[in-house]
Amino acid sequence: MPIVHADRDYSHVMRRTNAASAVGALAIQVLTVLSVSGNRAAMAWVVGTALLLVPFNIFVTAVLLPKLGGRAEVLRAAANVVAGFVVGHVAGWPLAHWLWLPYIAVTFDDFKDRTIWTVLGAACVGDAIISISDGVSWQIPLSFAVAAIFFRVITAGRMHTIREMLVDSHTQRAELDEAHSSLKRAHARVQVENEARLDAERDLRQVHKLEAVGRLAAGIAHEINTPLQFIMNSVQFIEEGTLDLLRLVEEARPSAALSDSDAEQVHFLRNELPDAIATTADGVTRVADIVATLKEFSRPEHRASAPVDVNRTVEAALLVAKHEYKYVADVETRLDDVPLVSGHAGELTQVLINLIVNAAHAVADVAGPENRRGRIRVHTMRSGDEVVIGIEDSGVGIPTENVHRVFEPFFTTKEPGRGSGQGLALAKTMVERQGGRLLFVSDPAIGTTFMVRLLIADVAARPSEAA
Amino acid sequence: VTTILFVDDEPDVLRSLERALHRDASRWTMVFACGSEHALTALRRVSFDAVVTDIRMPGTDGARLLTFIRERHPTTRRLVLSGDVGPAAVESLKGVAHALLAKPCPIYDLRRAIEAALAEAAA
Repeated sequence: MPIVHADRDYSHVMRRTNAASAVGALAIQVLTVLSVSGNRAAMAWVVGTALLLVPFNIFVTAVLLPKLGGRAEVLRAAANVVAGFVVGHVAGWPLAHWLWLPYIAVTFDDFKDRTIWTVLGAACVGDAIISISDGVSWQIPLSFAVAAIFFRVITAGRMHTIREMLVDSHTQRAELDEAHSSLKRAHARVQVENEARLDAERDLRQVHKLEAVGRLAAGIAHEINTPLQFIMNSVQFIEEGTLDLLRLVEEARPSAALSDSDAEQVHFLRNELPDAIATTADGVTRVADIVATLKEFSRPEHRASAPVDVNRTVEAALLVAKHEYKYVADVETRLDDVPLVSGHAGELTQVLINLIVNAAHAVADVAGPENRRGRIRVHTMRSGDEVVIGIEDSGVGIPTENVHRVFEPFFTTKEPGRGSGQGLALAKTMVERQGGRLLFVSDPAIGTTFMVRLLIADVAARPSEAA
Repeated sequence: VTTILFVDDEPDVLRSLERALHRDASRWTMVFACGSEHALTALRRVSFDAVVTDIRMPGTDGARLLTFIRERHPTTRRLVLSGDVGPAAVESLKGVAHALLAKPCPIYDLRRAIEAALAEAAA
């Protein structure tokens, strides 16, 4: 156990005990006065001590001791010895030689320095010689020395007790500190666990939300798809009919027979109608796609999972998504010779297409007016029991405030028509359905990397030699 | 001449199909039955080269209609055009339907599917 902070704690207690000792010393003097009343020299010593020596002692104890330590004690001892000596010799009251001795013994309670004891011892011996040569009986210095030793023993015992108490309280404090910090650690651990639990709950809520969305979509899919069918049929019919009509108009009425404004109108319709019809057809397809995508969320998890060749899936997805990235980014691929994974090739392709299209959009967003081309890196590698497919873009990145919402269904930052906010939610659902994980890291300064991690299929636990 | 029966409980779907397929009228004779009861009435009298039916219909649903056709007119090609082609529907139509088309199905896909089914029958 480390010792008490002697400089501070100890001297603090010392000061208080010394003050008590000073009171004790004063009591000795009062007793002396009572026993020698009538002796003018003794009275002078007592009064002088009370007026000068005691305030000086208090000053040394309170002010100098913390700063000078043992040297302050020497100063005090010297002052007391000199005072006693002066009174004893000059005023002719030999007892004053010795009164300081028990006084010092009581008040000097932290005397460890040997030189101080040597000095004091020498002073005692010198004083005794002077006293005895002055005609004082040898019993007086001896009895004072015995009394001083007696006081000293008592003081030392007291200090020992105080020190032990200090050590005890220090130990207790250290134990308290230790208990406190272990409590703090436990608290931090609880907090971490709590956060993990909240995360898990949020994930679960999200899964439930997705399932509900899927069930709803499946329920209304029929109701939506039926009108979509006749809208689509009708659009097709309108397209053919319109083209026929325009052709007939042109054939029946040569443009010369039309007024300028009518000819212009026909020209306008011929240009705009096919486009309007195509837009309508596109809208129908898009609604149908959304319904189909939403239905995916409710699909049961138990689908036949077969060993999937990740690299072939990546190549297929790149081919399908090509029209999305070919104008905005260069694609680099680094496909390691990875083992087959357990999963569903169709769903994995869909996930990868989704991620590649997202990467292309992110890259397009930083292209700027000069159409700077970005970069999409796709790599596959083995990592422990998993195969990692990384899709890294040099695009806009995901702002920190959106990081938690990336996989939320219907969360999108894209303008209408470019994304309905289901892509990543669905991708995550699909990857997890295949027993994998979908993770990402994003830095607005660098771009985003999505990682699909899928378990290596049991049948191909060893890396295959032939790709 | 090739005859095709379209069955749907939604008159708008039938009418729009009729319109969109009007160019095929020269090669196909198309009958449009609104609901399975009308279809059954027609099927008791004549047979068709192909049937395109919805699944979810009041009364006799598409699956039962196709089962009836399979027994009564085994040579008829059976196609499904449904708004709900989920895993359950696929399961229930195994062996009953020759082809499954999901609504909304573009006309050219539908046409191609019918042509393919007819070609299979001819082969």
